[in-house]
Amino acid sequence: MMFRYAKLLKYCLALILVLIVSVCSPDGKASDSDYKLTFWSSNNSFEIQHAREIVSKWNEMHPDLQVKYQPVPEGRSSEEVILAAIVSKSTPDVYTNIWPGVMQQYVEADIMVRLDQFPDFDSLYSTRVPISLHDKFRSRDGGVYQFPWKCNPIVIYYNKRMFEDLGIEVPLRTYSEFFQAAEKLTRDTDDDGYTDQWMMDVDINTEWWHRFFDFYTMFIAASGGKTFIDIDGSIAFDSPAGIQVFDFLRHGYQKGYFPNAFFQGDVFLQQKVAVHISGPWNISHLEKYKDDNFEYGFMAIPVPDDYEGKSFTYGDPKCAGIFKTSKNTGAAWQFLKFMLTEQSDKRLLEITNQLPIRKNISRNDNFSGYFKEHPQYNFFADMIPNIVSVDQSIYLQEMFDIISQEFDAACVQGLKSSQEGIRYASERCRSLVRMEEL
Amino acid sequence: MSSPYLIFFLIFSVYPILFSLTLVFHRWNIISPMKFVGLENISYLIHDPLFWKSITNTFYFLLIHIPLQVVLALVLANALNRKMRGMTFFRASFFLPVVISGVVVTILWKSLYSTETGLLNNLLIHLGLFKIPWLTSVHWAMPSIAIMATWKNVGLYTVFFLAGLQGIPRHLYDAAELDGASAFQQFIHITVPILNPVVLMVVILSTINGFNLFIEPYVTTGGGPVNSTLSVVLYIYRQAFSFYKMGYAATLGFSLAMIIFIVTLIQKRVLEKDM
Repeated sequence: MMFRYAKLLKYCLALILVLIVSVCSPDGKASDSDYKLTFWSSNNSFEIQHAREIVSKWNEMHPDLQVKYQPVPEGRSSEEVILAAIVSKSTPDVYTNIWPGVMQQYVEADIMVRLDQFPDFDSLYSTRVPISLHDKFRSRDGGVYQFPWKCNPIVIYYNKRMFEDLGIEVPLRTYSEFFQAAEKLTRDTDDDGYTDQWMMDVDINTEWWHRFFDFYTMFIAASGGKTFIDIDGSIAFDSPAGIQVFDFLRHGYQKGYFPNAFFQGDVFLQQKVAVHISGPWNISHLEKYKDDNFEYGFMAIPVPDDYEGKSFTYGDPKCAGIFKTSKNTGAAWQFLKFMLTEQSDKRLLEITNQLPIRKNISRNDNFSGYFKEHPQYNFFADMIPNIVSVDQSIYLQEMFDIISQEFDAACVQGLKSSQEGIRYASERCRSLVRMEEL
Repeated sequence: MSSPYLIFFLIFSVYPILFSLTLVFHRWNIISPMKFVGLENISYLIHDPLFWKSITNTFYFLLIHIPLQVVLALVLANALNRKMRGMTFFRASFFLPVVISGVVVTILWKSLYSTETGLLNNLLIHLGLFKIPWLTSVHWAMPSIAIMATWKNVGLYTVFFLAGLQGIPRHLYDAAELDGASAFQQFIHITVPILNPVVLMVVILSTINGFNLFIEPYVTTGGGPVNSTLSVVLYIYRQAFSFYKMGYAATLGFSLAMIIFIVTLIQKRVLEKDM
């Protein structure tokens, strides 16, 4: 009996060893001649279709350097999956769904290939990326490790019928105009003594990433395109613009224009709210599920009454990058450039309805056919030069968490003033920035 | 003979515990090398107001959840400990929430609790009462979560009590009846004392499960409003998997384990004294 156990144990251990060696091997390739580039993309069905098409074209044109494609494995978030891949050293050569908020962590862990080392980087970067965005994707050491690939500018969707019924003119540019409309649009439609139609839904969940679609987007608009950390390391939202945004949100909750409630389903589609903050991905969702009489339009994010300047917004960008686990970074760069050609971008737009980060896209002849067929996307394409990304900080998530806690206390619950909320949040963020400098 | 167990124990218990203990003295974000920081994590924990807030919240949750669960489980077990038509169906019904996924149960309750569109508030309005901000008020959120957690788990403890009740000799009740004891007196003087070991087990298991409160606040409130439903485990989860502060998360984890150990030890001493 003992002998059988010992034998079984030996076989099991041998099997585990073989599995570990084969799975965790950093390259997993048999020889240089068999070397294939690996490429991961986002795992939504449209992007999979786009990636397959691009890879198949590349493989036809480059029989000597084949690309093996797979969508990023399923997980709670793609960032978590990439993290697991980094730890097990099984990252792909090229990945195209990098959220810039995690890039600084990757850079500090020395796992990304610096892209501006390639001789033809500058020409591609300056041809493709709008000038206003050139420095937004640069890391703290001055290098560029991510190539801005696509974006989803955040705007306000509004219910056309609700606005027309009450004779409200669009766009609502300032906070005052917004609240004048809110006064009319927030109503008790069935006279039971309770509001059942609100101006706007602002998610009350305090999970950090929710603040991208309310406070952060509104702060970018109110501050003329600033992010949380200024160039000199100071906290930018500790400013009149930050307080004005908190005041706006606080006023909205106190007046009952924004519901302090959790809902199931899409309240904009259910016509319980008149306006909704979202990106272009929402168009296909609305088109699929809307009633025949449901019409919607777009507006830029409202700004404080005294604001003068362009309409800025959060761009929710995604970037492409090359991991250092790649055994042929030169070839990976060639493939990445192939992903970024005008033709690839056109197919990205046509297949996924996602906007490539590209200069003058709505006025480019190659893309004009698409925008004629899909006029809703023009509004988003015109916003591209004025999109803003996120700070290059390893404490970004924590900063958003701090803001979220203060948003909850000051704006939703009204337990402190906007000034107190902003001041406390900025003090805590300042100590994080100090920690980063240590 | 014990080798398989030993290997299992070394890989899945000893190694993680030792690794976590190492993490307590390090700063580590998974992808960068570990950095030794000595007692920095422990010092940060002592001065971290959110950690103490999460501890207070968890104790508040336990204060509502455990008595509610013990009393409700005992009442249900008594009601189910008799012969009547459809008893198996009723017993299975009360046990059903235990085997349903916690996430599913929580999503359903979130829908019931919705301030504006929830079934509970619609019912209150029809009764001429007012809406309750179940999950959106600082005062209501944690009790609402405690009710939800009780509904989910009470079936399991009902089964424990039911097993305990079925072990009580019938002749004790017969003798009490002859002596003229009422049903309530029989319950207080026979059922409760004999069930004391089961009560001890239920209290200890509820406490350990209660300290691990996570799914309910994670799915419903995210720890809000104003951190009033931030449990210790939710806080650990955030530190580990939102901010990748593995060293601090390990420190929080060890502290929680020590607190659970001390509390259950006190409960055991107090309840065993009464036996």
